[in-house]
Amino acid sequence: MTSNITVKRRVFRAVILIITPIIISFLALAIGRIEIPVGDVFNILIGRTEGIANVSVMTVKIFRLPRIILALLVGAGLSVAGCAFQGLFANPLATPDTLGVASGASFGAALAILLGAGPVTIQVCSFLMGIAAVVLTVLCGRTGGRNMTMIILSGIMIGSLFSALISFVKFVADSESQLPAITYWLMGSLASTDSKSLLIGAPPILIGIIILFIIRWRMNLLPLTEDEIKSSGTNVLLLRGITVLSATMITASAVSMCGQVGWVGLLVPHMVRMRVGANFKDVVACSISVGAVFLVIVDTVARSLTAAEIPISILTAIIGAPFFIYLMRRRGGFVG
Amino acid sequence: MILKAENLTFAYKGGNNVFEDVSLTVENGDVLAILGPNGAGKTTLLKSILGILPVKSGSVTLDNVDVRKIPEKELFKRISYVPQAKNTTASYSVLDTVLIGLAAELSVFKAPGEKEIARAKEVLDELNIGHLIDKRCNRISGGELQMVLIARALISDPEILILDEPESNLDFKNQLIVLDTLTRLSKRGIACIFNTHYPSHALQRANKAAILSNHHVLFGETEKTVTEERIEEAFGVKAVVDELEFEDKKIKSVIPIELINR
Repeated sequence: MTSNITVKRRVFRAVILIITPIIISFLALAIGRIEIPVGDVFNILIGRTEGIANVSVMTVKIFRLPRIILALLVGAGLSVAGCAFQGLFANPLATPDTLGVASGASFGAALAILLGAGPVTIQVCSFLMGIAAVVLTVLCGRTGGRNMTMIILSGIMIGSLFSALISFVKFVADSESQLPAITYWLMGSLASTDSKSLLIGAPPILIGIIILFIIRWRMNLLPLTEDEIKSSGTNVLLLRGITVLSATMITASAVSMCGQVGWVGLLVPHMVRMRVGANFKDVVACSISVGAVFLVIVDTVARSLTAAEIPISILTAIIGAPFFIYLMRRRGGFVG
Repeated sequence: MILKAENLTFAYKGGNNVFEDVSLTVENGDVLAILGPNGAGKTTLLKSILGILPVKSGSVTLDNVDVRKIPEKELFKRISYVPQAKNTTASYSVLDTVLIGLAAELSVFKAPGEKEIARAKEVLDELNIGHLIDKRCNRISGGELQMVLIARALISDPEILILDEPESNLDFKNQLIVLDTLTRLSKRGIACIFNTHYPSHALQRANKAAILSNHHVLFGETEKTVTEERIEEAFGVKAVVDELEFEDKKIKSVIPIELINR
């Protein structure tokens, strides 16, 4: 927030941040291997389906709508979780996976696939294992709750432990059916979403986003020294605890629904900071919108570009990396 | 307002006492300088007074109420802490940094609004750094950043300001700016407690002084505390305390002469 930004400009920005994801989602509903006129999409959404081909109705309602809602949630969620971890560790390179949550969740899913579980079990197992990984990280790195470097180190250890366990699961998996399923799952895809998986997975993401959105101004305290946080009358452990819990819930649930979607949590907060500065009040709000839009666009490209769908983690990096480098060079460096 | 530390003893877990039986008193408008060699525990003492490090024994009271019994939100509205400029993460704008000082005042769900921004501008103008308001903290000088951190501490309108080596790492001019600020604030009735490496600064600016040496503290009026003998005892340096006269001002100064082998 700078002093010369007028109230008018703030309102204008808020409107843009709310409207853009809606417009992009609406267009994404129309785009795909089956093209559906925008007018038809609108009619399908408001329930006027007479005269519209059944295939179009099914495509929009059963396939594209849940998938786009998932993309919105995961994009917004991972971006906010990235902001939270970057603040928490006062480190611009922190990602939602710094505490090992994504590795843990991936292991949970791989294990469930190995054991022949159904989609719901895979999702739940993945979510719980993601949370378990973070609990383990915090327990191992806790030194009276003071040293964040210990927590990061512990996160790296737990992350690599779970990565090794994933490799082990792959090693013992049946190479004809289970191994490809695990590998494909790990690359990340939003394709398997339906309303049932959304019903289980959306609440943790939504709750996490809402909590972090509410405390976004106070998140400005996160990168400060412990003495500074304490002398601001804030309970350090509580602030850090709420942040870790919310960001972990978001990430674990996102990974449990669509695998590891890398890059978003790193890329989006940095893009936003280059534009609006380092104040979390603005960064969190903008990251929600930009992250949501980013992932909807990437996923729409992923499912429309070729007949065989490209895994989303490949595309986030292919689209993200050059765009990020372009932004970084144009704006003359990132805002830490 | 009266802040009293009584018989404070502090030790890190499993270690020896850093200091023992420290007692001192600060009232409105006092400037207290805490002196001592590197590693004597000056910062530890400050943090113990502030209540962010738990002491082994003794107590700190604010208006006769134990600070541990005052809710943190209330306590840190009355006492503000200014860390060393080099220890803080600084990519926020100056305005945002100053507004962080209101964290104790605002509820968890609230962010600063127009009223708070106006207050921040007022504080920045008061410290003559109003022109920095939109600058990023990592694009300003060390001296400016120290002033911004003082502004952050002042925005909550505290009765006591606790500063950790506010003038170290600063050049000649910026040291003077920071010290002048302390003098001005004390005239407004704010009590200032600061750590310093410079006995001269204590003599010139503080009416009270505490010298840490050999785990103990000598506390009292500066002129009686910061003497040639005490400096020799605490720092192992033979020094001369001298008084210069310039126009109608008398300025005390400490000149180091030689190391004492002990």
